Amino acid sequence: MLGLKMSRRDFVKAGTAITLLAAGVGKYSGDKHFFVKASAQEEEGVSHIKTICTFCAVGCGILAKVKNGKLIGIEPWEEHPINRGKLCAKGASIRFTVTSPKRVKYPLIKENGKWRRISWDEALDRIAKKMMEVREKYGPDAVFFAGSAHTSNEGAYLMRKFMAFWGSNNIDHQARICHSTTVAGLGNTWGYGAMTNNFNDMRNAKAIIFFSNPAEAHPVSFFHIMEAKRRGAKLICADPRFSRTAAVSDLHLQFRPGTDIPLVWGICYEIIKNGWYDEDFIRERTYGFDKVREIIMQYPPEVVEDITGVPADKIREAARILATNKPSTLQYAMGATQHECGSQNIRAFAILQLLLGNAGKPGGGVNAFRGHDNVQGATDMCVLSHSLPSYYGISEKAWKHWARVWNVDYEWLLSRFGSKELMEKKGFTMSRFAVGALAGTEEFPVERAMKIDQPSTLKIIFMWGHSTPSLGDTRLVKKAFEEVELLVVVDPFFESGAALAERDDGVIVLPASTQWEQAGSVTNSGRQVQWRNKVIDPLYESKPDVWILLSLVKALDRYDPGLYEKFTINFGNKSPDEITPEEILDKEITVGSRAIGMIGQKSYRLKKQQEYDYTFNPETLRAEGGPCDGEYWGLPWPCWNERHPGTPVLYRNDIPVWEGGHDFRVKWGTKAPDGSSLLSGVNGHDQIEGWATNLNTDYSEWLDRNMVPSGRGRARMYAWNMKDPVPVHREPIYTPRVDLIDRYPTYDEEVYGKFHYRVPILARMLQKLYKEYNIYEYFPLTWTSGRQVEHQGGGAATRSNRVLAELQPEMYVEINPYDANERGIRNGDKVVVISPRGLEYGAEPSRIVVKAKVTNAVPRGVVFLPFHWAGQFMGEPYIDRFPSLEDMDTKPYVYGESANTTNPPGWDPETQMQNTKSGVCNVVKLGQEKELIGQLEKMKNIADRILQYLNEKYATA
Amino acid sequence: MPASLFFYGLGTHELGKPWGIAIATYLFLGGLAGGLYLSGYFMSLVKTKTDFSRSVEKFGVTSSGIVLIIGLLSLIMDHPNVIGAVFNPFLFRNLSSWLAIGSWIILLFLVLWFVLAVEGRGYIEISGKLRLVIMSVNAFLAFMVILYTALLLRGARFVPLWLSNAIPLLFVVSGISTGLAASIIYGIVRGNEGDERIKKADMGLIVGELLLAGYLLWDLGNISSSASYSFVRVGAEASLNFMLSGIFSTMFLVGFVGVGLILPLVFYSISFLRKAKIMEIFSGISVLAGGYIFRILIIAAAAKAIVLP
Amino acid sequence: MPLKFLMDVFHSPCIKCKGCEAICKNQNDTPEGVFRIRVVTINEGQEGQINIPMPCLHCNDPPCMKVCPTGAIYKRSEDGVVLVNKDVCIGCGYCATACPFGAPQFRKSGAFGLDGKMDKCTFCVQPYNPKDASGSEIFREPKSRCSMVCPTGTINFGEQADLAKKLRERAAEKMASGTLESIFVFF
Repeated sequence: MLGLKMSRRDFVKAGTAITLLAAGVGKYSGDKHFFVKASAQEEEGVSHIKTICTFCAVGCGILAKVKNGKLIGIEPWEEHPINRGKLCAKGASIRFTVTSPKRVKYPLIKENGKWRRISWDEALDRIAKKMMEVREKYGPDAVFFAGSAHTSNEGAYLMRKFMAFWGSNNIDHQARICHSTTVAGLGNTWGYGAMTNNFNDMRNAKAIIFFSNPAEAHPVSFFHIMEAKRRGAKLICADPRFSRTAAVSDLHLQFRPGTDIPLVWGICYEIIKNGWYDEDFIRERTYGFDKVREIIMQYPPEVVEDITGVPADKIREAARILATNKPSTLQYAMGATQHECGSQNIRAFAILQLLLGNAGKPGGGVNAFRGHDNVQGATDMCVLSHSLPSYYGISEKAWKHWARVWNVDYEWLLSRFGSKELMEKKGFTMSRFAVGALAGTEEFPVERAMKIDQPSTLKIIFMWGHSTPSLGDTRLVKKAFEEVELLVVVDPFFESGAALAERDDGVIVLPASTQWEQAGSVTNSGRQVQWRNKVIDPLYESKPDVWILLSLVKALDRYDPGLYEKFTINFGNKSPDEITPEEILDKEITVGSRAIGMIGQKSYRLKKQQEYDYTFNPETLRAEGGPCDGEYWGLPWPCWNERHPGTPVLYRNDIPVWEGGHDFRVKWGTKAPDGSSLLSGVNGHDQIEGWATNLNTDYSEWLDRNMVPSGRGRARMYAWNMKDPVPVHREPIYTPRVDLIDRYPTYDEEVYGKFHYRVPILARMLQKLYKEYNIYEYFPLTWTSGRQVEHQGGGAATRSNRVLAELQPEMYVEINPYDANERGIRNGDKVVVISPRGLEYGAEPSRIVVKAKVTNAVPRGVVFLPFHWAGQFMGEPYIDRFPSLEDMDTKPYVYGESANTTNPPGWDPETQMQNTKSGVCNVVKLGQEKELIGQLEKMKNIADRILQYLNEKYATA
Repeated sequence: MPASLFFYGLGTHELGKPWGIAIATYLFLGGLAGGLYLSGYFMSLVKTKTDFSRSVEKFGVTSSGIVLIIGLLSLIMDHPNVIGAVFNPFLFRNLSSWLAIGSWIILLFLVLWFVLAVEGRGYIEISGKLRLVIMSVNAFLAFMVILYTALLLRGARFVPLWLSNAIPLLFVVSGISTGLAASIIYGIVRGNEGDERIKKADMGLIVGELLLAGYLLWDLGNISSSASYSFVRVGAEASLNFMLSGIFSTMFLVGFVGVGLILPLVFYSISFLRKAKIMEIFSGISVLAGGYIFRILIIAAAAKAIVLP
Repeated sequence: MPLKFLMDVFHSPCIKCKGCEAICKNQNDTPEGVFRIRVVTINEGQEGQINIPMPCLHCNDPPCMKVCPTGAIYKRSEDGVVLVNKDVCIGCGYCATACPFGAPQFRKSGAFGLDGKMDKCTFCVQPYNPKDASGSEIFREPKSRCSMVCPTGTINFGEQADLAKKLRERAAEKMASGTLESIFVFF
């Protein structure tokens, strides 16, 4: 393509020209043409319904235009305090997603290789029958439930409750592979694992450092970021790519993927060396500074330059900007979390902010931008294999707490499980559930040898609003989908996983309605809970998630009498049609979710806020006058009771708790193992006895005394209970810098324990083999993945949207011109991205066939892949397996290869987060991949070595 | 040549590309039609009539209208809605637009051409004097048709390539030259002895074209370095790069300059040295090909830098 | 009182989220291939990358109007909105060559490449199909949705006088912060 090179000066002159042209120097004189008088034709019968966008977690408000029960368009909701009507491509074209002709219109079953329409009753009955059959034969743990962050809080909560009542912890959702490391990293540092501030608050920052690409992943957040920039804030972008965020930033730190920690430590080194850290803050409110300093001092900028590739001067400049422009905030997303050291990356960010004293301040904090519209809510509802709603964990104490909320006996709950041990054992995760289905099968020798820590393999998999393209190692997932006895997919669009699996029967697809066809509360990234109104009745035969879940319980009730009654006892045992989301929120969620203070967010308050949206000040997000006077928008949790305004900025101790004050949690006792106090130096006190389990208190007696129910403690820079108490650099398992492997090795297998979320994990072993077999010589490029602004998640919704499909019709691989020229690749060529994934279990290296996009946005030696694509697997399109019936065509408008087919192995030892950000690969022209695969013949015995290791380790298991 | 190579808008490939090969065809055939008519007209003015001059006169006058209509059809193929204007020419009411002016010129030309054609077939009779007047008026219109194809481009004020003064001159010279070349081919194919004068005239025009092509490059270079607005400079530079080193350089250097200008000169020279009719046919064909390539090039290499607001 | 767009090029804040392109499609129901606004990127992926939304700027002396052979393009006198009378447009594409911003759009379909009448930004006054069910022409209130949804404030819309005032305010801001020099280059 032709590059238009214009210097800034030229550019400015061109601007001058247009000012002349457009702004008034022309000599236009009046109208001499025929002309009809303009009139604002007010359309009749059109109502504007306030609702919330269903894509990312910014939580933008949109006015839906509805006429005669039909969605005819949208309008910007200009009084919404978060986005003031601003929208990105996804939100602005949401109407084409909701009304897309590509929707699944009725329940489908695959029989004898053909898709057939069935009724809801039949579908639910078949599922229930199969579930009970499996339960009897293999136990409740043979079911894996992939829940969704694209449902309301109520839907997500019911999913977790459903699996609790079913009797298994094998439930997980997108948060596992999205921000689980945030919860572990931030939670272990200061108590809560969520974005500390909110989007609007970023206006107050004087400097912002990005560790992700919000310009493309969360465009509307730039409404506030740009406002900060206009007010003089300095923007620093730390990103391996020259992204659109980098384009508008003042400083770009282009580091190698997987080296976040040394980069942050380089900045911290400068801060400590120059005495820029906030001494008072560190003394009064943190713990473990000395131990952290010891580690940080091992990373002077020159060392960091060698590891990360960022010039030392740029690191010094970044440190200076952050230290001299306070408050400064830190933003990150998937780029930091999706590593095997993800939790540690996040810890490093938190420590940087603690050093600068930016934590718990407006304009400061660590802002984790979350992905889906309700991923914060679904995480709070803990659709996760290691916790009950509101992060209570799965200890006996937690089960007893929730049993009380649910109004059922703990003993009865226990009887639902295989055993007490299984009840308190973390279940499979989204990252490795495939092993749970494959262990003991014939396909891959290594996976077969894998032992799992539960009595049976998986026999039924639910994919309830979860996409397959976002899962790592697509080949293994495909095999797992083929191996199980029943695959149930619940989605408004045809989720690619159901077509990916090459099987002739045993797939049931249920049409969920989109979130605009159902009401519910959603929690955005800034912990703000908003009420999403139902816009239209569910289209076709689709049904709301809550209805489907309740009906499934009802169907199970036929084979398991009494289940429905117990499940809905708090809702008066009404039928699935009659139970409203309001009831679920008011009678269970806000009663039990005490550990995060999600108590005051009753539905009537949310609706009142929505009605009086105009009374909220967009700067402070606080209502000034009116019925919501004093409340913060969305009642961000902790919101201790129905009179509490919410806590927009976590850990802010300079305002009263009644006004949204808060403090670091006392979560690990009042004394550290070394004997120093963990209570804050400012009014420190322990958490209140029974604050999280007492269902009757409204906390006002403590709030009146300005006490925080979760205590006033210290943030832990040194977290003794973590695998690395202080983050240290660890090279990715597959790294291009083999010379650094021995100095900065990844985790040993022992760190993960014998079983990690019920599966064995390999880490250091893989890294050693990687070096021993010189794998890096064949895969010299660094592999990383990310987002396109037009698509979201697995892309089922956006690729079926005609506008978004037109705006971004292609899957591609971004490759630097140098690397492209070396390989004879030209822009637009079909290329094969090939990675060593698969060698470790004896398969051919995985590969994808995509288009090359030659660009300077990626540095030399790095390639970038967007991950939203499905419909093609290892070069073979499987779009034909999407159901196409007479009155329904579910094939998306555009399709492509899933980037995660080629992602590297690597799992976080805290949360089992998968690594989809730093691997290795090679790119060759289509047709030349055979040659490369041929050269890898001798690596066949890598799998044998691993097999031998596993056999030894698990001989007794 | 894939159509995707034709584009407008430099800053992006995304903004519309409304004109392509069909418009180039239209411009070429418009020029050719004008040239044919003019060569026929000149032949009618020649005192000493030969077989050759008579056949060329008849051919030029008759074929010009047909060629022009084919050109219009090419336009309509590409822009089907234009057909509306064929049935209702009064749509062309904005006379500040060269497209409207040109359409009226073409219409008038075609009317007069039709009269002449009917007279030529002997259906009606027109006195010699009146015929000369009609012929002369139509010759002016034919000239205007050629000129209009250039001014049409010039009317789009933001394409630096089209703003060069060389373009109208080139179009006129090239139009007449292609007309002469087509006439020569026709005359020779009909078996008549060629006319030295018409060959010399065409050679002269080709030499003129070469000079004008040089002038075009010089002018573009001038614009690209000293125009007051950067988007003009950028556009001119891009056009220049296209033609000299970029994707259209082969088209310009080999196609237009080589095939369209140098080759005919060589062929004509050879045909002067030793009487070889085939050489004259060759040269005629290469002039026509060069003319067509030139029109395509002018559309294709018309880089327009987006004016940034 | 002419209405105008003002693109904030000076801060060049556009992040190419394409909200403008999508909301335009939503509001005006333009078919595939027709973009009344498009974000243009210069120097993509390198230092100095600039993204600029390019709608119709509704020039005071529109070149497209001048070259339109049939006079289909006209400028409303009371608010200066440049509109197309699609009954008269013959789809010749001359306006697209004349426009310095790439505003005029033609649907690229049909057997021979181009089809359809010229379509362009109308400040959301007219949708792609300007006739309602009863056949009378639709004229809505001029209120551009792209400027309403633009998250970064790149696209501003309003009366020329108000926008001029906005620019002046910005200049004053710069003067206060001592960086007026940079703005003089621009204006």
